[in-house]
Amino acid sequence: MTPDPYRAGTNGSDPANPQSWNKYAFVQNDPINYRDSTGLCRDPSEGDGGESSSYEGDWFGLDIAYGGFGGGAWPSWIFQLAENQRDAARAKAAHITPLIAPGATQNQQQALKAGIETAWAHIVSNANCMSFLTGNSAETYLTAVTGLGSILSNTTYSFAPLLGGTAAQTFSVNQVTINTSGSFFSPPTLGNAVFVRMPNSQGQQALVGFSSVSQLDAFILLHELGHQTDVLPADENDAQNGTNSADILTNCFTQNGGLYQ
Amino acid sequence: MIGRGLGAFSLFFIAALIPTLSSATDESVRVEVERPQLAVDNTITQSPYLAGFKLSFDARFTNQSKTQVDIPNLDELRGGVVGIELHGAESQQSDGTWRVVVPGGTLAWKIDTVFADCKPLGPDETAGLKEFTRPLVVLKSNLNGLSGTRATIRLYLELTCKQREGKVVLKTVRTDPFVLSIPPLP
Repeated sequence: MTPDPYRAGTNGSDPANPQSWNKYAFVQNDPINYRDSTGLCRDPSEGDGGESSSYEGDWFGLDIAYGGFGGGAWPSWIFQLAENQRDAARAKAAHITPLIAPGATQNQQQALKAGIETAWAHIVSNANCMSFLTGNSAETYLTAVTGLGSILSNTTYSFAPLLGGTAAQTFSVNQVTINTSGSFFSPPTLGNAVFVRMPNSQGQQALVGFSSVSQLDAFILLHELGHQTDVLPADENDAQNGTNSADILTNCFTQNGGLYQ
Repeated sequence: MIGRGLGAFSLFFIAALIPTLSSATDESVRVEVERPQLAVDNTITQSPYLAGFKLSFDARFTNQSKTQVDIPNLDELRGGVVGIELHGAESQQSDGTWRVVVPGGTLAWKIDTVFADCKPLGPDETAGLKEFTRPLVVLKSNLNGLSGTRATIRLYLELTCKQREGKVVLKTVRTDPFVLSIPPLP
């Protein structure tokens, strides 16, 4: 179900919004057997028998090929989780609702939610990304999802005019601030694609393109998450900043037509 | 680390999030700060977790290397042209160590950002910048012990300029320490 960015919009789907790819993703593509009584996600206690194969094809309602993971490349231990662990993991993975400090405009809130949703999709559908952000130390998929989900769910996002070219800053493990005048709110540059200038490790700027604004915002949020989990060293200078950004792009994104997604 | 449970997990991260910006900066340019002023600006953010300030100062840039270095043409820094940006701030503690007050963030400039042209600065040559003013946002809890005091501060500045062939180059420099009056928060 990896979307073709050049066909986005023609079938009602938005590549930046995985939920829109599948109208029944909230019940794991099975509206007959599952319910969504809370309006948030599939009820965790129902209908688990005999459906384990569907997890492999549609893990957490997201196609496992999302993020270029290359169909079926998930490590086998993911599929060896007990049923109750799968349910718990899926419940954790289904929704992340960010805490937003008072004062945020509706546009800022919408941009953040779209960015979080896209970032979360990278985490739960890309084992490289999840593994990197946990410092390769999570014992199981469940603990990784629980840990990263807990951080994201307990992070308060504030909005303020920050320093210069800073897109976002991690002030503490649970306080991230988005620059209201920064690239997080860049308009698309060419079609849905958006380009920004980022430092590389050689003390120069590089032009970097993303397939959508939500993908750019997801990158920014994942960079901050890397600081929150202490996987990325502090952005002490432009070269370290460039190295940190490259690590996020390498581990969590793929390129299609030169654009990161 | 995630397998240790959330309590230990959080503590681990909190302990790990007390970094310094360290000394990995470009030492070729010395930056002296003069007439620093910090004023509370409540219009900057409505977040209850953050404090908004206006920081202004004069700066003198001196090439203390033996070769020519590129810095932004300071005469061009008006009308939204980008050349010098605040990237972070540290305060000196009583034991002489430095503590991060404002951490560096993810650098990603909008595509339409206009950068100042580079200007060569010869060895021992100096360039001055008057009344550099920027909004400064600080996590309130990072101001513990600083609010209402005169603190010794050093800033990290991002020097960005466009070379003649179009390449945009970056340099993170650290100012000499200076004393700054931190106003009490309302």
